[in-house]
Amino acid sequence: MATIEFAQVSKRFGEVVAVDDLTLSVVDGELLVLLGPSGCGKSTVLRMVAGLDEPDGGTIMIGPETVNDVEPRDRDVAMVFQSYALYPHLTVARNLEFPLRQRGIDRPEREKTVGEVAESLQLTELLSRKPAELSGGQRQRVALGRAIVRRPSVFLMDEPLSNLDAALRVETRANIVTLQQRLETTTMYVTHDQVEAMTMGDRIAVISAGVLQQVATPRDLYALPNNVFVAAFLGNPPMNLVPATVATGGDGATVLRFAGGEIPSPPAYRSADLPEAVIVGLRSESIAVHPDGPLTATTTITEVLGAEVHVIAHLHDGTRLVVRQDARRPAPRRGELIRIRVEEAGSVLLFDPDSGKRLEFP
Amino acid sequence: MLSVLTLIVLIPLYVTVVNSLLQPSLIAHQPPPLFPVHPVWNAYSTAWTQGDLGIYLRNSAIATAIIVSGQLLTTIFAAYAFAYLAFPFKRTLFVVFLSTMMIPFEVTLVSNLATVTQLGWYNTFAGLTVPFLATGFGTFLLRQSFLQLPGDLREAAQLDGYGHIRFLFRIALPLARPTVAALAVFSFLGAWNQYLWPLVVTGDNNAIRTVQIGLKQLQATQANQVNVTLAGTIIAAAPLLVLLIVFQKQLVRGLTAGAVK
Amino acid sequence: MTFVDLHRPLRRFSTRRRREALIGYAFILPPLLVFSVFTFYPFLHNFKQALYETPPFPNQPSRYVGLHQAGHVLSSSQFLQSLTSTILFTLIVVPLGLFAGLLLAVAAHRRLRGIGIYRTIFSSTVVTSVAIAAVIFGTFMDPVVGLLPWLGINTSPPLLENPTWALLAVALVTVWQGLGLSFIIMSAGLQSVPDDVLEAAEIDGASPAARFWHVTVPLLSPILFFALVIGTISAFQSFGQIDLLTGANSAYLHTDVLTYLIYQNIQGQAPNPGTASVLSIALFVMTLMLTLIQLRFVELRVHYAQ
Repeated sequence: MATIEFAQVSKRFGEVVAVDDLTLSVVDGELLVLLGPSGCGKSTVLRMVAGLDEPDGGTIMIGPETVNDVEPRDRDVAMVFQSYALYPHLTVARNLEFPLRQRGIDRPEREKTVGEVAESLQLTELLSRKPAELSGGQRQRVALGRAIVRRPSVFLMDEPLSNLDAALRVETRANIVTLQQRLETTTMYVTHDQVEAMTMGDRIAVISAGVLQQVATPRDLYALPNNVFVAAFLGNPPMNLVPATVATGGDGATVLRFAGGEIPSPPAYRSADLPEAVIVGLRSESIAVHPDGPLTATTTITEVLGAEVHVIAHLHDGTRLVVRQDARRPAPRRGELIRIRVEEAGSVLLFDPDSGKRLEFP
Repeated sequence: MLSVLTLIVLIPLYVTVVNSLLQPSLIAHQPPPLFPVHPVWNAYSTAWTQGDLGIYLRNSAIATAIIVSGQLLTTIFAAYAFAYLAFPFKRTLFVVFLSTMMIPFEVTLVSNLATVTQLGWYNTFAGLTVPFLATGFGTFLLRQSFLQLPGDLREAAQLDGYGHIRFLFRIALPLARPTVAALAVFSFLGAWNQYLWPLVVTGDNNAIRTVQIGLKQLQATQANQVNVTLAGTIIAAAPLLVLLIVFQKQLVRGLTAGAVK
Repeated sequence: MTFVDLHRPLRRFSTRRRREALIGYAFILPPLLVFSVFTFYPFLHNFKQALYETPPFPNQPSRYVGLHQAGHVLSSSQFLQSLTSTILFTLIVVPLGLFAGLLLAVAAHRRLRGIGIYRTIFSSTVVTSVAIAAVIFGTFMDPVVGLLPWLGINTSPPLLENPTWALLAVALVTVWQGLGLSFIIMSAGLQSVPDDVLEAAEIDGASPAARFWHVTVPLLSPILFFALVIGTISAFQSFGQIDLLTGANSAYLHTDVLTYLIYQNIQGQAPNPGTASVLSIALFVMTLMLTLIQLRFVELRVHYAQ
């Protein structure tokens, strides 16, 4: 049980800046997801909390203590590696027991704890096997078990699900969340999969190229992304980002002009001072195919996903739009010209085309 | 820690170089000088001329070249046969090859000397090199390498009209280059540093005496001229040292390819 | 009329196979020939030659004495001393060599700048032969011109003429000469120990020493075992350094390892191929037994990765 504080933390590898001036607070007991594409520095952040890499600048605090100079083994953190990093020459039981032995805990207590943890992760029958004899999912549970066994203050998880197949991933995801909530241990969880992030995190910290983009609850992140990167990274399909020019419409009201038509400026921005060009964020569930829609587009392809259908269309300047609709509605055919309208004007967001930042509501 | 270990490894070599440049009288001085203030170079020329080290180096080079190329050739073909060809008793014959690893050379020394003498090869390059023209270990390693190449490679080559020799030299060998390099390195080191066999098979003239035996002779004839003897060791080690520095990476990779099974 | 000859496809098949077999045999013939003449024949010939004794007078033919010679040689005090020397020598050289190589490898296994230079230095003895090492150290240990008095080592008689210390001295020279190869092998092994497992151990609370003993060494065990077996076989075959450092005095100095004894019976004052053969067989049996013992008892504790 601890909080984690990052104050202007930075890390360089040679010429490359891996983490750039990170300031972040992790609340005690929460599961904070570090989300970002490969190579964005999220694993580096995790390793610095573990003590495997040292920051070049800034301080990291776990609880009340600044830990920059503290060795990994004195930090009371446990880590689940992407590769699991199980001890290949030891049995499952010994793997689970290892952290306890290093802390000098005596045998009866070790055996009790290992037994309990094995029980909770359904590893009891596998205790005498070696990692090479286990399946991917089983190894993953052993890696989890090894982290739990010490009841540390902090869990660090580095893409623990990425080596599992899709079905197992969904199941294990839920198990990890349940476990974390039961143990109430502060957890930092790294992933590049935004579905994982959205379903698991109490809060998500989105990172790109070493820079923190935004940290918020999944809901807030989805509804109000701070910039185009976050907007495009989350959601399936991601938010449509369409360039448009700002003009004055026929009746004097401000309109947003696209390559396929124009729509009125969103009500939330009505009194705002808008630049000449903007990027308009349209969630695919907030727009619909409708014969009276103001935007014209050509259907490229229709993806059937079961309960819903994704209509992928292009405006005549090539901009791509994805529209989600219920599968019971008739779907347009390839090449068909369709008209699109905005169903929820309140959810439309505007972004600055140069900085990518979301324009504030006035 | 690193520096301590470096000293332990390097001191003997450093002292050797220093001493080879000093007058014999100075060497016996207590404490010995750490740096040759007035280096005397004639130890090297003495070792070279009086010790005939030039000739011995040449002999070592010839013998090593013969052994290395012989071992490589025989191993390449044998490993190819074991990896890709089918013939009766292949399994048994492979075990026969492997079993040679169990018989250390010293055990065959006695009879080999007699055989070589009977063949009239005493004190000839033939006698010095022919017993070593094949290696079981090398065949094992290279066969392993060939077996690890994708199986359909050979089939694709066959369809393209590649015969055995062409496939072997154009495709299989280039892909197995690290292992071949390893074999060459092992082979070279072994051949150059051989002592017992050259001792036993070379006569008293300089026809084929190698540099390792030359050192023994130098030590005996230059008993008091310690600087000369040490200069001789530097001369003897120089070729390998140059090769080490130039081919450092390949050498290490070569030696480890064999060790990490 | 064209008959379809049902026999033709089969025959073509066997011609191809026959051709392949012939090529196969051709490819393995040269090495097989070398092995037959210079490995198998001499090995087997030992057994025959062991049964013949050569009298110490020149140009006298050897006479058949059956197993009498073998019994005589194997029970002689000379043989027993040689055996002791060989075993002692191996016991010093092998563990020390392994340990030293491992130490060097661990020291150089860090991501420091310029670590490459250290690695070259540590592998450098690989270019020295036993002859070179022997001459170098022989000079250092020389009582008149050597370094030892300066280091304070003033044994009497001097090291290389001292029955108590000569074997140790020769063994140490052997270890030094083998440092390069040992380092290279151990380094390669260390590369194969996965970094993330060591990091996991660090996070799990293991001190550097604990990480070394509980993670590194077990994962290194295949390499250690390999080095042990190869090292033992090699130690049993040591010759050059004995010849150059203690030469003809080896019996007195207790450095008369088996190979040296064999050599003396080939090129001594009274060459006795029969005795040499007996000794050669003894050497073979010892090497084989040691390897088998190691395979049986030590390999159990080796952890092989799948």
